[in-house]
Amino acid sequence: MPIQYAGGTNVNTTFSNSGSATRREIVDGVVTALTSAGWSTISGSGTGDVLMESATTSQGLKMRVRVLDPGSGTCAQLKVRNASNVLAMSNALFLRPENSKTWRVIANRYQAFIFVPATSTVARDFCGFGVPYIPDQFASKIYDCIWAWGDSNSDTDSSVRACFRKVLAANGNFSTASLFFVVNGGSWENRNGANQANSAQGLPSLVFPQASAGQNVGSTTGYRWHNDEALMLEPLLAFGATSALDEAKVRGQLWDAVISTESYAKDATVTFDGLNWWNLTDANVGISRNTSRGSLFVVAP
Amino acid sequence: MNSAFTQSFGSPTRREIVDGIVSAMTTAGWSVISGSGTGDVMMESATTPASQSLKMRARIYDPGSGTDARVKIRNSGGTIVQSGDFPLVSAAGRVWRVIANKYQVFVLAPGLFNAPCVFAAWGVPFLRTALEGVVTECVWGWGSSNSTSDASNIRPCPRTFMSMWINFSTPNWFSIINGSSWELNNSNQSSGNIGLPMIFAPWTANMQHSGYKNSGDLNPSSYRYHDDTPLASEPLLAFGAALATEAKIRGQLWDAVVLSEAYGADRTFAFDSKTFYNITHNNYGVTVDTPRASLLVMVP
Repeated sequence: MPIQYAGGTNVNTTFSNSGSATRREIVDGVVTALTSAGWSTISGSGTGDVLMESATTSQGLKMRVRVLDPGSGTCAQLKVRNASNVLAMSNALFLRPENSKTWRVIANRYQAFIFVPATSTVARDFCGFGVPYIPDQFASKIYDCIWAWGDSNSDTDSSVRACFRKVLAANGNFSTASLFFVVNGGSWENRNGANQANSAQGLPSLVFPQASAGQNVGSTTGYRWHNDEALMLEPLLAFGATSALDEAKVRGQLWDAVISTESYAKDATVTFDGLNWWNLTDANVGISRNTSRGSLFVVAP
Repeated sequence: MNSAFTQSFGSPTRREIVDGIVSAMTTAGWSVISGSGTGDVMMESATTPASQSLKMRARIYDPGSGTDARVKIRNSGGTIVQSGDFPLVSAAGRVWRVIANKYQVFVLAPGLFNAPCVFAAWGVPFLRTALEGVVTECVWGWGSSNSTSDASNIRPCPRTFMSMWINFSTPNWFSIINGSSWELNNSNQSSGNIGLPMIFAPWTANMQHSGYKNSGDLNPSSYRYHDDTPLASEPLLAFGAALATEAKIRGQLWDAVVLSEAYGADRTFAFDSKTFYNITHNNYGVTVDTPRASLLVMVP
């Protein structure tokens, strides 16, 4: 499959916490960015508790996200749900305000990434969510599909967990972050670092053609062409449908995104296909017999 | 080209294998350079499209003694020649199948997956545009046994896996890339052998969930779509310029595709308005080491 472009408006914008560093500032900044990207406000406009809805994909998928200042605690929160409000995240994606911290939002009408540039080792500084593109072969079989993935699992979590800022998959060798998934009327989420065992086959990962040898793969061999160019591949996202113990299957593809099989510093930008792209994944050289080398780039005008 | 020949039941000979392979390759578009009608035939592939211009030679021969017919590959100039061979053991009533096009050949014994000297493949790959003029010489050859006296079960090759993964038994490989060649057929592998060949396959970035689970409990994930159909990808071939140098993708196998599922070998599938033959037998992968995948090649 080729790269799937969302169309509409691509947003690449920043906002900053003031010296007061409030949760509300994050809410306002995220809401403004999502609005610019084509998300609509369902309720709470102008407040610290805003429910927003994505555009509807050509395949009929959409989602909602509640962006809120919970009134106490450390972080602003994003709580993902389906459009009918039947399946909702009980945990949240956490974003921690800090004096003069700059946030970046890279979003389109179906998907968003929110993170702090130049850092990848501080928790509660990254999250992503969206509805994917569904391959034609089973587009008629999916009527509800949502993914959400943060870098931490609680309001006070100080550890960066497995997420696209660090790796291209969650597995038992990385403590798991806040996750939420919806597939056709079912949902599950990971909270408080649960389901970290290797038996958690439903944990999310990107799937792509790569070297068929786990030993040394990516870290030293089997990741680029003869002329040292990396492969550029569609970011197919797999996750379990009912729980972290359910077989992960490829549910869809991220919009305006591509995987490079090379490792790059976080926030590196490149130009190809007439567009500017932003690397979300920090220096991911892979781990032998564990996780793949590679970087997730997203369109960032 | 997809042909089969059967060795005689009464007195099978090495020569029967030579004749059968030469006949199939000729039909597929390879030309005879020397030895026509003998038990020692040098054949040359067609030249890949002008922007790529790759070709190779293969010597198909009866060594005069022993149990095996042999294939020895080289560059078209004859200046870089495989030292070893890809042996193919003669047996009464054995059926051999040759699946070939003008650039590439697969020889196998249908139904045999754990026997020595029953598989060999070789060819020149397709080059992507960016490598045209950069890769000026590229030859690969992969066998299931490392010598004519190899009595062990099949070594890692596309009949069983998509790669010669580390810590496995010694396979048989020969390659040339722009004047550099190496072969592996008589030494044990080590973790430093990062040049070992592999065919790219769709694989999760989380290797913990590839193939079988640790204990052998069949519990893989992230290898198929929501509707249980497998992923398909181009069969990109990567290998080092030397055994201990980085494996890089040199090219792509012709008339072939990789599916991220395990199937019994020798089955055929219809898609893309063509028929494809599954080379790889029940490759469920090995957790963290190699993915679940099958190499299919087009047959008429």
